[in-house]
Amino acid sequence: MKNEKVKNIFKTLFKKGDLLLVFILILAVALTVYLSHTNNANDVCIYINGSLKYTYSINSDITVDLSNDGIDMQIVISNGKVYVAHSDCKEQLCVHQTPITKDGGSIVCLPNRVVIRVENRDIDAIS
Amino acid sequence: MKRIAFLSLILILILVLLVGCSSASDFYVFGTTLQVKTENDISKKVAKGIYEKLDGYESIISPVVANSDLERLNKAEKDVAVSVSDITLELYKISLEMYNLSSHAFNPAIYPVVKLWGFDANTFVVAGQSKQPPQQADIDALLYLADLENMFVVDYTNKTITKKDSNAMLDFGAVAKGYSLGQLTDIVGDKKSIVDLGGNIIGFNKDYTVGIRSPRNSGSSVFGKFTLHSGESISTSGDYQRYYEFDGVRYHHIIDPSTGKPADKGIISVSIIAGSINGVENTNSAAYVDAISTSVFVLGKEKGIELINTIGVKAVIIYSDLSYDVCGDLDFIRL
Repeated sequence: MKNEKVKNIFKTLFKKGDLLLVFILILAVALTVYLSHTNNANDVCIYINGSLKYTYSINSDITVDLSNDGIDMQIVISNGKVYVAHSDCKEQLCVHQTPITKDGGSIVCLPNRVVIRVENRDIDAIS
Repeated sequence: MKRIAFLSLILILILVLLVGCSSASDFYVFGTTLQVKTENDISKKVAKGIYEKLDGYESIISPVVANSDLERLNKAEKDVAVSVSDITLELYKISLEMYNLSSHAFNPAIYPVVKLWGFDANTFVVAGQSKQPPQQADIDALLYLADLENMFVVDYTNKTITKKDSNAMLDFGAVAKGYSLGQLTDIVGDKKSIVDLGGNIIGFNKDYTVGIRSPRNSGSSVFGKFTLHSGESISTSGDYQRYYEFDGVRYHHIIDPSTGKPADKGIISVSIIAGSINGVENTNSAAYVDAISTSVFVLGKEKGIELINTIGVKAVIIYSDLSYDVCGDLDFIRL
């Protein structure tokens, strides 16, 4: 009885070809996400407060200003390297950190809660 | 219309689920970042459990967290017995062992001098300041406190520590992160995972490829890589992690207890790797790994390698001219 009811609801929501359509869409989305992950393995990911906020290619030539996020910090991506050019934090550990290249690594600014990370699929973590 | 709305909802759900995995988030604990990776990229449940455990340890052993064991001990007057937890007692025990093994190069009682240099977590300020190193006379006046065995009396039965001088202070900063990572086995269980606590890294149930950060701005951000076997941990001590410059001289945070000044034996980075100590596997091996990296940095090449061989751990030591030594059976590849 219950099964019949579910079946009926299912039938009103989906027509025959719909399931195939949903399946194709799932496949397309999964493929897109997978490919974007694969291609962007050397992306520069900027996290603010633990959430991914910006993504750039390591090969781009750009200065990322975080003033729109209320943070006085400038991150430079140039010549395949990423580094912090300016930060108002008291420790300046992020400014002192060596630039990250495509081989991976991260720069952390704890006072500003900013993490800049370049993922490398061949290296799981960096000490 | 209903059907279109329903289909859209499914699609959005799928997108959120798939894209959500890529926005990996970090936790902040022990004054650094915590990143946990499992087979499914990031398992937030495991990561949260690990974070909560580490946060609990921090509240007990950090000298800068109010009412922690060390905060209460450090501000206590002499001859007053301060109640401490089993964790603090265990850390003291490991520290005392490493203090003796390293000929006092590893010394948590150097904390008053570290504070004088301004390298402690609460007072380290570089921005907008021309930070000067402290006067030699001021350093010398505090060095007598760096006597771990005689400045602190530990009562393991009543779980107390008593200071013999009101100015004596302890900081387990060079062993606490490693120690805490070693206590995660129960939470991780049989999951294949790697936990990175600000460069102190431990791997569980799988071999991982781990890189060593380039200590200087050279071609690559990674100096080299190797295989971290299941159950092993790595700790790196470097002069690039926390420092300031004055008159063109770099003053870093690893203080040599014998001089009261930043260690200066030609080493700029030491990575220690092990899953066992003296051939014996135990949960505290990550704590020893952490402490040995500081010890070797302070001891320099010859005595450092001697200590590495005595304890039976693996290591990568990088010198100021960027030459390096690999100790033990390590498949290190220079990048």
